[in-house]
Amino acid sequence: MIEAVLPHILSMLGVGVLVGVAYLMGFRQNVRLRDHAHMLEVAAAAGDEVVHALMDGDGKAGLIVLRGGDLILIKAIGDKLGVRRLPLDGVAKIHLYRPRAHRALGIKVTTRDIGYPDVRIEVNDKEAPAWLDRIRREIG
Amino acid sequence: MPIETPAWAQFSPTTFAIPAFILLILLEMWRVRATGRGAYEFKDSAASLTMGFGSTLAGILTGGIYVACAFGVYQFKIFEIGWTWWALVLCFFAEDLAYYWFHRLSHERRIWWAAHVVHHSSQHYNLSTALRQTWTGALALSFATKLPLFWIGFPPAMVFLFSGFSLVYQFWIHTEQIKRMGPLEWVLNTPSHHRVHHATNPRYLDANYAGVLIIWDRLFGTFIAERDEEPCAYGVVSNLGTFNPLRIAFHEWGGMVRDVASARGMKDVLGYVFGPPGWSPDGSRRTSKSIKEEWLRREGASTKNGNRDADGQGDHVLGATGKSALPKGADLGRP
Repeated sequence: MIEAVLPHILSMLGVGVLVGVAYLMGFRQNVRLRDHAHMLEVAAAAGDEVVHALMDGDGKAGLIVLRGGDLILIKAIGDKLGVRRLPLDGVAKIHLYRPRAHRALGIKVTTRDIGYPDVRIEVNDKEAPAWLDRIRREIG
Repeated sequence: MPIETPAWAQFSPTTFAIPAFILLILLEMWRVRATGRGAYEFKDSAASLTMGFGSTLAGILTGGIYVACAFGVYQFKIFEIGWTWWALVLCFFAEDLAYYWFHRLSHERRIWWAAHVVHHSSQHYNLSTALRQTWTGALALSFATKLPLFWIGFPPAMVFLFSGFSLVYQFWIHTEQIKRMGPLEWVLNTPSHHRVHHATNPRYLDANYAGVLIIWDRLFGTFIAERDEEPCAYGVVSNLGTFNPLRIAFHEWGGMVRDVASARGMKDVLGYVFGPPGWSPDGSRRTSKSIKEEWLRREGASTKNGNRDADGQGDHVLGATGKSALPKGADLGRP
């Protein structure tokens, strides 16, 4: 019994050691969108024309609307940006909320893909832009 | 009379390799820190290693399906093949060829991609990425391409042994620390060839499916060499936004189930399950093929207009012109 379980216990310990060493060696970078130009550079991979863009005040996330109606979501994930282009029906919900921190308005975008969980964009504006309201109405 | 497995072959190469995996990952981390070449991120590594650990547990739970199918097919074997030296040589090549087709199907058909996407879901390429393995491979019957080996008559333990060696071999090629390996690049799957396989650059999509020997890709026309002027961008075309192992393990299955539930007929169901990843009835979604075609169109247009980059290679990444696509007066909002 112990012989069968031992390799798995050792593997689990190995995972813990490696993650701990990675942390202690300083592999814990957090990437951020520097500014709008950076966000558009990231979105340029989609090839289409950008018509609206909204960036989180701390650069943790971004939302872009393309000419054809598709959206691009950008999310900081560790030291990389998770970029996702999706049609409007790929979005389940856009919810507005009052952030707890220093920003005035929070926008939470929920996609239908469990591999791309909620994107939160917090901005200083008190009101959501008109184009975002239009998109929210379209999603329903 | 059943063929007995020799004592020397009664071990699992992967179990024995675990300490070496750990040491090599530590060594690579040190080298990345020392040279700045390559990258690690502890949450990404934690996700990869957790997926690897989970896959061993999943193997215990579901591996029986593979073993049962292997022995089931072996009952109908054509030849009585024993543990001879020539059988070992043949089995090595046969297992590697079967791996090539398993791997190719895992990229070209969504039901198998749903299991395999896990391995490609990191945007990093380092030794911890090698251990980011699926939990659902057996459920997707990913082993189907190996079944002919048992039917031919290779003893299941022999095939399992070479599969184990192949898995161990493929560990060390997940690195950016080794650039090229000279003449070995012709025959073996190397870090350079496998970097291409993990890249999302349109030029590199759907290439280098080899396990140990790259000859299969050269033979079946799926080989693409790495170019120094086009660094690999790792991950999947639709990158994940999470390190949560459960989401990593099941996100593509979730998407497939959602698509099947919304299908308007059996043709759509078959397309969503057995079509290429990204298939949709109206063709509105992107597949590897359409991404590559779009890129080739742009490359052609770029060449025609004389807009080639300084290095003469045109755009390196799909649409990555490096220029803002923002029109005058577009609404940027304010952070």
